[in-house]
Amino acid sequence: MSPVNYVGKSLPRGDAREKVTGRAVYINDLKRPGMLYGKILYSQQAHARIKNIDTTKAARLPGVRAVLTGEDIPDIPLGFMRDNRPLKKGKVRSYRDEIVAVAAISPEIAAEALELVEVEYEPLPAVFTPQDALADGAPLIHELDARNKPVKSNKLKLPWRLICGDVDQARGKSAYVAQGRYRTTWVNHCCLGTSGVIAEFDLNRNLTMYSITQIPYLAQNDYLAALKAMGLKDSQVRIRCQTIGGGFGSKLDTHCYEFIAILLANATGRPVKIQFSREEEFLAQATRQPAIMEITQGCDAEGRLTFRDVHMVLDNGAYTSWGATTPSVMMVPISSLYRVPNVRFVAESVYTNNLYSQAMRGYGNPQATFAVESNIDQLAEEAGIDPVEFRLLNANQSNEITPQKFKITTCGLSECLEKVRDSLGWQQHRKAKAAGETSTGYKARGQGVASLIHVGGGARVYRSDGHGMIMKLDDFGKLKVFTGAVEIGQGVDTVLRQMAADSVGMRIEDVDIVSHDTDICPWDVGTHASRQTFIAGNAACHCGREIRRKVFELAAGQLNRDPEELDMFDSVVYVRDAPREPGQRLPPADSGDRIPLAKLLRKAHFSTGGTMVMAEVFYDPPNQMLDREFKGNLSCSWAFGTTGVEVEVDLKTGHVEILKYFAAHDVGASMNPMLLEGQVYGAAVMGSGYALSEEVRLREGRMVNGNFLDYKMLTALDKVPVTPIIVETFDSAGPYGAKGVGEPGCVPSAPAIANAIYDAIGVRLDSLPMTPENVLAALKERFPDS
Amino acid sequence: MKNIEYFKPTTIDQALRVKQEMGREACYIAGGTDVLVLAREKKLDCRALISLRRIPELAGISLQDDVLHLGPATTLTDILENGEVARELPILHDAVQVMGSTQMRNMATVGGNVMTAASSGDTLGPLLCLDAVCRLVSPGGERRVPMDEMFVGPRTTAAEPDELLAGLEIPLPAAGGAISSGAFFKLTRRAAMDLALINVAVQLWVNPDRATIAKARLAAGVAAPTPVRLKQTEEELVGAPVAEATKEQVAIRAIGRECRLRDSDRCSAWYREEMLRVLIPRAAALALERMGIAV
Ligand SMILES: Cc1cc2nc3c(=O)[nH]c(=O)nc-3n(C[C@H](O)[C@H](O)[C@H](O)COP(=O)(O)OP(=O)(O)OC[C@H]3O[C@@H](n4cnc5c(N)ncnc54)[C@H](O)[C@@H]3O)c2cc1C
Repeated sequence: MSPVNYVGKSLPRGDAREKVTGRAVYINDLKRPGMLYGKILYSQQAHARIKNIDTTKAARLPGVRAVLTGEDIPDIPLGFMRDNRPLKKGKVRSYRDEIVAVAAISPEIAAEALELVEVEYEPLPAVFTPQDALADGAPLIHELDARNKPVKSNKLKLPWRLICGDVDQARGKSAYVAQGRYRTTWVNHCCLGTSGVIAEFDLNRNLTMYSITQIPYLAQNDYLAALKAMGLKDSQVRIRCQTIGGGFGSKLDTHCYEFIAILLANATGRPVKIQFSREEEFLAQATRQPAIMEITQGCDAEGRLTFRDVHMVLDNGAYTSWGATTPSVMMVPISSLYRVPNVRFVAESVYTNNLYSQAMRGYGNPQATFAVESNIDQLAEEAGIDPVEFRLLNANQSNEITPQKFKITTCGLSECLEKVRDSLGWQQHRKAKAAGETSTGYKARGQGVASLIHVGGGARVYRSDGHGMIMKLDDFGKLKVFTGAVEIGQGVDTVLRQMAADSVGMRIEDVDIVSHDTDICPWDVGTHASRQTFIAGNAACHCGREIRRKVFELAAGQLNRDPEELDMFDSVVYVRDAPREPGQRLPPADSGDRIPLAKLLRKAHFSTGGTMVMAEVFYDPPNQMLDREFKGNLSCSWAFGTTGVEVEVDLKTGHVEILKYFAAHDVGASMNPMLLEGQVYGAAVMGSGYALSEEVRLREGRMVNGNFLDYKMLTALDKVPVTPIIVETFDSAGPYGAKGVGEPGCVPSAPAIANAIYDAIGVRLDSLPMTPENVLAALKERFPDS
Repeated sequence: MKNIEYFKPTTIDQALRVKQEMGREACYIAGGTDVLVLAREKKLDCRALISLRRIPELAGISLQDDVLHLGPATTLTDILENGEVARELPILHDAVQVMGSTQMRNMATVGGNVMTAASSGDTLGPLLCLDAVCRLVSPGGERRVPMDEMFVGPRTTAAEPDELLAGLEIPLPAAGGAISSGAFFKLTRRAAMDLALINVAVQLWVNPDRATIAKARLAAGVAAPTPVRLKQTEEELVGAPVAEATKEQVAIRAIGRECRLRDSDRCSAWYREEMLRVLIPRAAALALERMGIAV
């Protein structure tokens, strides 16, 4: 490989200027000639039979080009368990259910048409908690399963059960045991860009989707299945992703509205755009799963963990998405955060008439880690051991295999814990607390930590974890990198450019990323699981090596050397051991020992029997799918981190202010510290919002705070004073040593804050969000007399 | 919002004429930060908007004979940046400072806040405590309504449909050598872009002995269907030692007698009550502190 020149540098994002000047084209900005506007009517009932839908008035409104109901469309099963349809037929199961869709020449007319639709419902009894949904005689939300067999209960046929060792035996032998019950609630991704799509058929009935998906190639497959159901079995699908205003997991599924756009485009023969309003985004976009978690952990007399026993009930809502599989990632911290030999994890998901849930940054990990890390503090207290010491004692180490059969190659967890401890001034705080100096008047200060483990080297959640990449050198010596990775704001394009430039030995100005188009770019399984820096980065290293090999073969003839004697730097091929001026990497320009890439490429193209320089790779990492027991090395490397916070609690209002926030991350190696810190900042604010203020509030299944006034996403003035701490362990599996870090930052925020609140006021908050009202209520319950 | 007519009068008379012609069909719009929200929620019931932004006499801040004249179309930003307000009316300055966000304060006006008359309106408690007077004009002439008589029901003012709020008059609390200051607290769930779960305004006047209270004004928002003054408590405080105003017991009594708290999706009643108990004493203490009186 060529010398490292760009990797590790804080280069600004490639798209920064376009975005801040408003030049970037989001789906909101895009118009196609002759385009119609689609709008969707949602259910007014949580659970009801649809007795009748009268669309005659809507269809007659001038400017309306199509009106569709569930009765007008072919059967297109959607969702992880094929339990959803683009437009519902027969009955609705939640307030977000799509029942009528309209296409019209303007969004206003489409909206007016929806107001003319008359729907008659016959309300059915509804269930809004997993407990109620599991009760005897509870109304069935889905009467039939995907194979049209009658079902008996609202429990999803998707049981999760991980058993490592013998928990019951270990429990009997434990010196200390701590038990807790924790709850998390629904939160929305709150992407700045709302959902939108344009579906357009050409005259050959091939479909182009102007889209914002994180999974273009899997989406292609879903759309093709829909086209087949629509009788268009020879149609092809092209996906052209626009600039994406945030993903965070919300674009990891194909959604009903996308299929509705396809159906409307097919019905009208015109391109159809559907663009969500913010209210619609809150109503119809699926959330993070709420979880009810029961946890027990034990340790021996010295504080070594002996077992961990977790039982969870997840509110799935009315339909499944890929997010129904989040327990597979909840298992990661449950089995493998700290060394714990005996583990039991049982989870069940339950249909309810609530909004349904989907993937969201961390994919179940934030929920599970809230329970595990809150409970670790409880256990440390039982055992009379300092919480940080307790964690250090149990910290994972490099080169170990966890009970779930994860191979931990490199592990910087202890270093993360120590750095956070020292940055917080943990010991001083303990002393001050012992001296009674951490509370004054009606304010009390506290510190808390929590750690994380997450996939850091891809994740084989599908049968492939593969990524296709093509590199092409053009006539002017510029490199185009064709990748299936999607830039969702995380910065993958910039990091890939750095890695590609270094892997070939080029100037970064000579490297461009070409992506977001399934017709042009090779296949990739999706932008999820914090995988692209690792996976696409590895692909770039492999592909870059191949480009170099080809370039050196070409240059060998020109420079009269063997290819092995050549190297490349700054887009110039040169003889490695040629004489050089002191301090110069390249031999002198007139020495005949070097040739610029551009010149070499022109010679290659413009000669008899010429050639071109291109390379391709399909990189599929050597990780494993979980087996039937949910064991196996899911990821090539594992990311670790620790968050430590200091909070000040107002004992009279319950308000929690974050005074210090240190986030240490073992990232393997930092490809671009500025972008990396950006990921950590964003994740810390997202995690703190999850901890303190964000909550989709449902009353009988209906969202009552579906706007940014009442949905309390933190603002720039809600200071979360984040200090990122980068820990490098240089994992040899990763490109230049890197591991993924896209999701991890938001994983340990809530338990770190909860632990700090406990330290401050002696009250354990076991439900999210920890609003002032909830903190004060907990305080009053704990200390009724003060 | 289609088919809405938009009028841009440049004088009060023009504005009044349009309004008179169109009656309830037309609606005034100043900064639009309430009007446009209503429109988006399809709760705006009118065919025409009459903009007040091009009428110079409606905007601006001036001081005459110890009375601060506040144009209703003055933006919150202009109020925030005004030196006299900061110095003489910290109670109002406090309130404006925590309203919305910079962008919103650049648009929103104080008159809009008054005329929307939301119980959460942050300038309303301070204006009540300052004994501000509203100048209402209509084609029939002008009348002056004390702020205390303005808020007659939920989101309803004493103004008639044909009346325009043409001015706010605020007598300076410290006029004639009086010793006075005030403070405002707002409880929210985040630091910006948030409406009050509860807000509290306190203005105190102390006797020259600096030990007893000469006059008190207390107001609370989201404590009842309209912003309320806690009048009984105000009266009881007259002549009391200054520390009395900061006592939780006083707040508790006031809440019991003069507030009607309720549960909502934003906040439960018990928490609102609890916070009034905390914030009334804190606002009183800050008002005293601003006069250099420690309690
Ligand atoms: C993002 C956001 C944040 C906000 N934050 C806060 C906050 O923190 N605290 C708070 O109290 N409010 C807040 N609001 C509400 C709103 O901004 C305020 O009430 C603001 O003061 C309204 O002023 P405006 O000029 O925009 O009113 P407009 O919307 O223009 O008008 C409001 C009402 O007053 C009437 N009106 C306006 N001027 C006159 C006049 N001179 N005579 C007669 N009638 C008149 C209009 O007809 C209308 O009915 C917020 C709103 C938004 C959108």
